[in-house]
Amino acid sequence: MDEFEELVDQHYQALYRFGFSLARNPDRAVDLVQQTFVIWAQKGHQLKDRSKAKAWLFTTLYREFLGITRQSQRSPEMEISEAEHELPHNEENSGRRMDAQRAVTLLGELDEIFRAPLTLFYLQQHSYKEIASILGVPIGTVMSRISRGKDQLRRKMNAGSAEVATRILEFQPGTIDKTNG
Amino acid sequence: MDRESAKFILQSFRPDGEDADEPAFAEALTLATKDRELSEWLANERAQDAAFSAILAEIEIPEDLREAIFDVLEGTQDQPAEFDADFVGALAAVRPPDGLREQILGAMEMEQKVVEMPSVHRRGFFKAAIWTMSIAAVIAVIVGVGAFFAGAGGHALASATLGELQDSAVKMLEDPFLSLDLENDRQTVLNEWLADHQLPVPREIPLGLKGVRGIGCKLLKVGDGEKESRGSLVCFYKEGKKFHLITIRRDSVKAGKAAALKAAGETCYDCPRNPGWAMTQWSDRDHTYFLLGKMNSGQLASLF
Repeated sequence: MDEFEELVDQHYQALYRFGFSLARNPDRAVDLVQQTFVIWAQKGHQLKDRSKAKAWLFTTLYREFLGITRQSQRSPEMEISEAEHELPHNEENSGRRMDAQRAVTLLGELDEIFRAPLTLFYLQQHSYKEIASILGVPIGTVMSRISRGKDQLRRKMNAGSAEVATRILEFQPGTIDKTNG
Repeated sequence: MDRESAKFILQSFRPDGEDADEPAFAEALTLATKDRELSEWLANERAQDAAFSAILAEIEIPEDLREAIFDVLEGTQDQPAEFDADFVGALAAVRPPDGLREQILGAMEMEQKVVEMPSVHRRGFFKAAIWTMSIAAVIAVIVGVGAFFAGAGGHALASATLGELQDSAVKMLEDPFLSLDLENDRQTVLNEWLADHQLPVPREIPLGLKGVRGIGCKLLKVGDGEKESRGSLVCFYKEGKKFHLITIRRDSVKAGKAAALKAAGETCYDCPRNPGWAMTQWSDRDHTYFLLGKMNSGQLASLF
């Protein structure tokens, strides 16, 4: 397996989840991932420190997303919210996917500045320092956005009756204690 | 470190424990071992984070995505000579679509797009600007700058006050979400970046700022429509203090007869509406400058 193939195998799934969380559309997420690797193919050789390849890929995907978003704001083809109807559907695992769908929807409802740092945080692929590098903002800003983003996310979860909220609340110690009698 | 500070820091602590060796979390984690309430909060926080992470991990990956990635590369091609040897084999058949390079460069350029300046008459927006983050903070100061130089309707601004500029600039600079477009400690790099983006480059700066460590710079837009012009923010660091220089093209300024640089040291003043901040301004042939710092006027004047 060559280096490029190995790089794809290591990161394409996490990149897709990141792209999907940002774009909330599977086709656009695929486009973002493909475009990211195309850019890597063209410019990746400029990266001297190969240990930073992962951060480079996530940064590139994020920038691609920003570029597409800005273009679509000028000539909107489709509102992002419409993309929610395009989430993949699979009868066998519909319960699990509804959770993921709801999670992505909730992330998509956050203020834009919270969405990317919080998604990266929850994907657990990067430290807060790496997230700062990917998003091109100071470390303190990332910590603030994660903190405030979580607050906003939980307010939205608490405000709704989504399965996600129910599921997460089950992890709270008090709830677990009660469940256990 | 108190409990609330620890909570703030630990909210960035990944639930899988990957950050356990990260020094930034050490103090907060130590405190959590001694503080029962904090410990319980952390356990709950990590549990909730882990639950949400698990849900996100359930996002299904399209079965053909991996194949599609390689397919799209096989449909493209680049110049093998430019690639590291490691990639030549994989990319031998890569041919980029026509115009792809320009598109990439365009996208990168867009990323550095300047924040749009709201109309001056929307000054109510200024207070509402708190709704967003760094960009909004920049907009806020831009509104302030616009208000300072042009009143409602775009006329010269007799009624605008220096206090408005102080307020907006200080609000931007104190916003924890303020981010710079470029962070670099070398003034030459910052100036080159500004020049590359056709932004005002500070040419006349106080002697005390020459050669000091830079922090970064940011694009600003002043005015809108035909009156629109670009400004810049450059931040410096010296002896534990941060200095912030806003530079605006002089021909975009319709008010204010700022002193020359040599006199600006004598016009430093403590901002009355923003205690702890000092400010001064000056002009050269092309630009008007505003220098602010969280310090007293004497400290600011020491730069001149």
